[in-house]
Amino acid sequence: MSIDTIKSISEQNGFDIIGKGNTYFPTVSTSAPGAGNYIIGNANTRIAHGLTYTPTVLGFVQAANKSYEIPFTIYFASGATSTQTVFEIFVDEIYIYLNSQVLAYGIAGSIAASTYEAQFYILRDKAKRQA
Amino acid sequence: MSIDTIKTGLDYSRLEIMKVGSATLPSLSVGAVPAGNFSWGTATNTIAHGLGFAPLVISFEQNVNSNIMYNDMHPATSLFGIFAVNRAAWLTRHAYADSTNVYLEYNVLFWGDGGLTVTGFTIQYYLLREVAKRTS
Repeated sequence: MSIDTIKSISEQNGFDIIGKGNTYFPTVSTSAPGAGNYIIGNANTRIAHGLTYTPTVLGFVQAANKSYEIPFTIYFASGATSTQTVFEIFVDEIYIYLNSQVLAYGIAGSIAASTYEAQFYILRDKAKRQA
Repeated sequence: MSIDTIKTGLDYSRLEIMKVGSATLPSLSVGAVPAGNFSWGTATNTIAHGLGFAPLVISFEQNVNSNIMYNDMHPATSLFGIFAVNRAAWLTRHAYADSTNVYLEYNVLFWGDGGLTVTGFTIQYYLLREVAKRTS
């Protein structure tokens, strides 16, 4: 593991956007686990990116006219109950995956439909294009 | 649901940095609760960016508090500490923006007997905008 080069300003590299997209994170709904117990709910959606390698992806959550970094986590707590809601984005050489996850303690957890929209950019190191 | 474009050749757009800044968030105390209960709290630093549109924002954390040395790329979510068999806390830090402000924020979820105080820290942020390929 190493850093190849810390280049001078005149040699600055950057990221090109080679693709982008928007779609909603999938809904999640769990049953109520009962007092003192945890339950987890998870859902994935995937989008084929059409490349033949695993690209770098930068993603954001768009909700209520604000743009949040991904992964994005929301906490809720009330008495002896809580939820932790997490939105993630990851990629392999075929797909971009959007993952919604809720960890709930003592109550049911849910992520509403059409509420949290992912905005993502597929990036490529500019140097690779110049090579 | 689709990806708009997988471009080829030299027709690329870029993410450019429109503004850079940093700010230190205040310390945060989450309320005392009885054993077996949760409490949570949020500390937010709101900064007007003056751009007139909602930028994309990425951020980094640069500080040391009493428990952990930070130099993290954001957003970050971690198990902040298990202080006893009946006391635990989770910490998430992130930045977000709308057309007026950039918001630097952290949230603490605490479970157990009593409360918790988290020391503030410094966040460096970059406001980005997608721009078309430069022709010059």
